[in-house]
Amino acid sequence: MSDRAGQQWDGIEENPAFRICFVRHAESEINIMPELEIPRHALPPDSGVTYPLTRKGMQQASAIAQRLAGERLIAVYSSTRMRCVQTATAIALPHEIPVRPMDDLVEIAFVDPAASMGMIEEDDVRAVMGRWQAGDIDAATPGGGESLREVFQRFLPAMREIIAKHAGQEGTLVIVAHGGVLASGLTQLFANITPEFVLGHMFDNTATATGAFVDGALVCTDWHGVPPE
Amino acid sequence: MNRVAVDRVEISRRRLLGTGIGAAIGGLLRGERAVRAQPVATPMAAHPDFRVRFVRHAESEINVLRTIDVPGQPLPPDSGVTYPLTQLGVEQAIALGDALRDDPILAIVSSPRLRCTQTADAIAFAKGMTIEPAPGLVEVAFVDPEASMSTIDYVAALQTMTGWMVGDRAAHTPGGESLDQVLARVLPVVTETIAQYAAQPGDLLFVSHSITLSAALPHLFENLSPAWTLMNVLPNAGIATGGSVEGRLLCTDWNGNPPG
Repeated sequence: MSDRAGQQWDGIEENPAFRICFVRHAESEINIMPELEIPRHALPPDSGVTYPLTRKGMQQASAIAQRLAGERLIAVYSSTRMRCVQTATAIALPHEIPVRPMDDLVEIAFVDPAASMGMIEEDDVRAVMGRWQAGDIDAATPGGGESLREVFQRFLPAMREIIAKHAGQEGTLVIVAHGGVLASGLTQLFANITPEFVLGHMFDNTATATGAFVDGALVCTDWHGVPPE
Repeated sequence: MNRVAVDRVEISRRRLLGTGIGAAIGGLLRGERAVRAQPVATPMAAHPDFRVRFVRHAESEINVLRTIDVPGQPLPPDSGVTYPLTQLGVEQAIALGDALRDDPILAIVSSPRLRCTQTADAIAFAKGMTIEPAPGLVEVAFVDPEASMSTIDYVAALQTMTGWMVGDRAAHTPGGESLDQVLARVLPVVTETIAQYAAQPGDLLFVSHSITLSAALPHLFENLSPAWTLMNVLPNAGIATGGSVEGRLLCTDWNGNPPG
């Protein structure tokens, strides 16, 4: 933990009024796959423009947008998946600012992102996640899934670049991404968030995690209402 | 791609898609006879207060390529999630959402390109509705959609569209779509969705792209000519509106102008 606490932010000049807010996307069709009445083999891949927000998701996105409407936003970055871009667009519109899509923020792939989501075997996913928790971050599902190391290798540099670019500004930097990539990635970015804590407090749709710099380390100050450790 | 090359692309692009399109195509058309399209015959029982509205997306980075150029790097392809709305586009999309907020909208069907889904979302969030992505509504491909936008040959694209205006529906750029191919993907989703909603009073919205709309709509509305629509492409966030008049689908308004 001491490794990741401060060193990764060397050379960054933080504004004391800089905040970062990670948001999980609103409910999309990917969250209600069994209700879609699509045969398993015909489920669309996660890449491309698939799985839009449901009606409930549109309402959740409007609600989180309203919650953030009074804040001074520095920028809104988003995973390139449609459910994230839609959520990010809802947040950015009241502030009249553009959305910045980034491929490196997409969800952990448990199958080749160009393959049908129906190819994912839940048993494989559970087995791989168990190995990650046991420390084997090179484990990956068959069929083109990512290892946790690969997830870190795309997500973390992208986040460090975004944070370094904006940490000198006053206001809130918004990042819209996914439950899995946030749960794993934020253990590496926030000095006070452990994998055990995350597993006990996963993100619901539009749940947020907020942080700020304290003594040169990025510290989580609110984990969707749960006090961080 | 270096700055000079980008500028050249930008200039050709502006000539193609900007205010100069009428002059550019008019010049190419001299001596050729523009034809009127044969629209799909769609006898239909529509509600008198049913309207179909085609919205062009708000300004995106694809409309201002010079601002996103990184020297030495090819521009992103149009497929995938690329070319978000610009600052101006965000403002146009918000204005569009405000303008349509009180309209009786039946459904919002959008091209899956980011600039369209963002525009569609601005309307959908104002209305508390969902959007339906329809891959058939994407922009006309003048190059393989997986290829960098830097590789488009704008002169060839202009010649291709001129061919379409004079009835050469098979004309296409190398790696690009013919008019027949464009119509074969656009018209089914449009006519099937219209058939689904036409019995109800209200507006059915499609969010799509300038060339796709100018190429396809003369084949839906019998009072539009392809030469006129291609010389009068909709501006960003512009709207073409139509309805059923005595069983015929007619364009009634082209972004505030009488259709031609």
